[in-house]
Amino acid sequence: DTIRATSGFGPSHVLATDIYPEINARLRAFTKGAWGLHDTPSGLVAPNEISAALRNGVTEMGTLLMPYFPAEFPDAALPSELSILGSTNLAVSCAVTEYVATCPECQAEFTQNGQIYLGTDATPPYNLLTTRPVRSVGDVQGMRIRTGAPLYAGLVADMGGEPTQIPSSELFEALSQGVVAGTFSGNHEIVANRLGDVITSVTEMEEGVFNGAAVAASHLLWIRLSPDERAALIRAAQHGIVKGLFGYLDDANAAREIKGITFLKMDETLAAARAAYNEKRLASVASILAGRGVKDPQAKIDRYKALVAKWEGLITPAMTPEALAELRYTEIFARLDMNAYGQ
Amino acid sequence: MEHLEKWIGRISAVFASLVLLAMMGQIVVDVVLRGTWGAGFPATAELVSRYYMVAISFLPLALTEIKRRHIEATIFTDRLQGRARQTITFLGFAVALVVFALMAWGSVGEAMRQTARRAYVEVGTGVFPTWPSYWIVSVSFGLMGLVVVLRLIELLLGRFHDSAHDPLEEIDSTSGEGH
Amino acid sequence: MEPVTFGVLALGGLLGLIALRVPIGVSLIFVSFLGIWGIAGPRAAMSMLSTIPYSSSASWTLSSIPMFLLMGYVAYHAGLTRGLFESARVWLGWLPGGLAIASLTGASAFAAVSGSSVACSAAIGRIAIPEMQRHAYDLRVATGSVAAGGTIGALIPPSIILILFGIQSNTSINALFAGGLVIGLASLVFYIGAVLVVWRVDPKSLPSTESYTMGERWAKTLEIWPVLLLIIAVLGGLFAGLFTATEAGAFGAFMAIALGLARRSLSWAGLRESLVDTVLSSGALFIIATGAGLFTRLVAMSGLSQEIGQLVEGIGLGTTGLLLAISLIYLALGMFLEPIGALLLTLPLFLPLVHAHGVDTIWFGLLVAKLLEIGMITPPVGLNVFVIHSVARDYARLEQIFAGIVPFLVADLVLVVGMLLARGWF
Ligand code: NA
Ligand code: NA
Repeated sequence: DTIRATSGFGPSHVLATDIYPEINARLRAFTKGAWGLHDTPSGLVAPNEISAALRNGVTEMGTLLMPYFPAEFPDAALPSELSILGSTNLAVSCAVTEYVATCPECQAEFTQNGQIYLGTDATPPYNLLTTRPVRSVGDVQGMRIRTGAPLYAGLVADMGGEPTQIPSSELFEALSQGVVAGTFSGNHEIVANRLGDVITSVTEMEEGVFNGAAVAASHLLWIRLSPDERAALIRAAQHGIVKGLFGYLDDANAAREIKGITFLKMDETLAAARAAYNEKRLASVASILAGRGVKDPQAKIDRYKALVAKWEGLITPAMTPEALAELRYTEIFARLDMNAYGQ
Repeated sequence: MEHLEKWIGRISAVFASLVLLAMMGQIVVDVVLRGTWGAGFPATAELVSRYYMVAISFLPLALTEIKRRHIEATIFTDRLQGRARQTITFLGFAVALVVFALMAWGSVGEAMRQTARRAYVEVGTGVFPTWPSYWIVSVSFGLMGLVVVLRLIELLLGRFHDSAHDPLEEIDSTSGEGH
Repeated sequence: MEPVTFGVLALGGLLGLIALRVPIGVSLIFVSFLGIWGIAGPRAAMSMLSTIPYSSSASWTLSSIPMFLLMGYVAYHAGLTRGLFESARVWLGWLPGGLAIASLTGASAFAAVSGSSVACSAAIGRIAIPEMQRHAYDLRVATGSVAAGGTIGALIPPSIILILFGIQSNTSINALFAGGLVIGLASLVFYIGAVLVVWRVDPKSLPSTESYTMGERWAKTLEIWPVLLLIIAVLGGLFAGLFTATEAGAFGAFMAIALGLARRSLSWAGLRESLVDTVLSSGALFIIATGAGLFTRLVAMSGLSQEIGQLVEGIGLGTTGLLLAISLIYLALGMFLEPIGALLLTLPLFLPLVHAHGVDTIWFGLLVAKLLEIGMITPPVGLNVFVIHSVARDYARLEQIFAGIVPFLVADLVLVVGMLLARGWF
């Protein structure tokens, strides 16, 4: 059978070029050809429609951008509120995946929305990608900057800029029309969204590793799978996601080769603004989460911090994608009962 | 029946017109503020897209049918007369009724889901409630469904007259000059 | 059944329903619903029907459409566009075929405040045709030039067709507008060429008219300062980056209202009518856009586009062959359909195809806009021709107007071939 999947961020995004094709290849191998997937990178479901589309079986597997659905996933979105923690996308992706897969409240949220959690990816560090150079906090004054999550919106606002949220599909248009003067995102987006034609400057703020994109399956698909096939899909998903983690790093490196973009180090004013914001943010995350109805947030934050530390210890610099994917599977999912998972 | 039609038309025309003016005013204020102050009118993009545009897209549906301005290809059916023409007209309204009844029903369900969870979007560092805007769609499709039902009744009673319209009259019917 | 079978069935059903005069928007929604049901089940189909209308209409970029419509209607109702033909006439009337050239030029200026080509034809035709009639112009050329001139309205920005294309294809509307300006002006030049050719063949059919002094010319031009100010402010601000294409519509509508009220040429009734006109056009337009959104999902789900793509590859058409085939399809559709409906109907199928062939999206958008506008003057359904017929009902028959279109149609085809040949420059 063929799973109807929606990577959802266009044909040149790492999701469509690396993650979903790899999931497909691994799934075919693990199920001896019984299951595969067909990805529709764009045109079927827009990112802001994906939750409903998975619930109703419009698509059977897709990329769920947690910040778009804070009301539906208050607990599962906890790690994305803490995106400023962690320094490499490899460790953060693993920590988030372990956190969500083993958090009963998160699992209940997915069940309630008719979805099964398969893992989370994480991007390279976030920088200021702009149409005019940002060398200090003064340059941010009054600048309209697109932010993918409130976390970054807060930083932009603190620096005197004006954060706005627009869908990534409208980003290119917005930058080229001047609706926004920049975007807060990883360098890999320069390649993935063809931003090289519109931005001229990257200020390397390295403000955390965004981890809000989860891969999820529809419950309507899940009930058609045997426990072994479920395990195969989850294991395939880890291989796909890990391939994507390395793919993001490749794209971020490729962005440095593009002509017409200046890469700027942040000055003291930007560094100070970042440090002050992060301190304030970490102090307030617990109350933000409590406001959304998350119970006992501080204990959960501590658990997540411990998982980041754990995975930073587990991952070695020379680890291959193959080894990391298998480690994620055995360390997180192989211990769960696939009869009961997601039910 | 004509009475009901007239009032549906009037009310939706007034509402949609007010939304147009509000949208125009707010975008202009936003542009001017951004140029002079550096910061625009808060939540303009969200208000424009989530409320004004949803209203302008769907509130006029019923009025547009009342004025018979929905776009159709008439080329293959223009020569038809009598019973055949009646049948074609009936088919058009019947399909329209199915479509708008389904969409009204579906959008009420969607609006109830969004209302139950008090849907919002995060704007900058704050939140902006979006759940009421989903009801605009339900009301619009409901009104359109109602007008299509009226059309079907008129048709069955033989009171529906569908004359080929003059494109210039269409422009003139609402125009201030050119007489 | 395979998903693609449902795609093919839906496409066939769609054409059937449209031929049976079911409104285009309703037809699109209906077949998309059934097609998605066939592929993914009733729950998925209902989910699409419940969520897409909201998510596709709740768009910031789309807001430029009602705003540009409002600007055009207000400019018209406030009489801002009334002097455009007169002003073009005093400058150009002495030329061979001068009144026809003045009509075309006036229509191009009108185009800069209006997104629609029918409004453009009607407004210029009402004033220009009686004038040409008075000067013993050949009726065919007189009516044909105004009907053709109207098509420039949807090429020179603002253009509803180009905005919709930009949104559907995810390309820069500013770039499309800049290209539209070039294609619009090129069309004007080609149309003027057509007039001169007709004059060359039969000079008596297009007599010259009186010439005016420079003083008289400037005096007439000064009378139309409000509309010139509006054009310069909107297009200038847009291309200078003061505001975006989306914001330009609101800004232009606001300015048109302000100018109209300040000059006391816009009555409250006129404003109300402009608003109702905008509301009605939106009502007709956005339900088709919603239907096209649903149909796009069905096409994606069924793999119809890939299938057609493979078919095209199989025939071995190549990129030029594909574009030629698409051009012919648009010319054929344009004979029967209204441009916006035809655009939204076809983009879901064609965009993935031309993307796969690496065709520049901006160039393709301009080509499509030009082809669809040609449809406004081709028989049997040529909306611009119908409008001109209403204007000139007392002295011109429909066949005469269609005959008068022929030189302009030839000019259009030359331009289209030129665009196809110039594709390499993009
Ligand atoms: Na125009
Ligand atoms: Na035609």
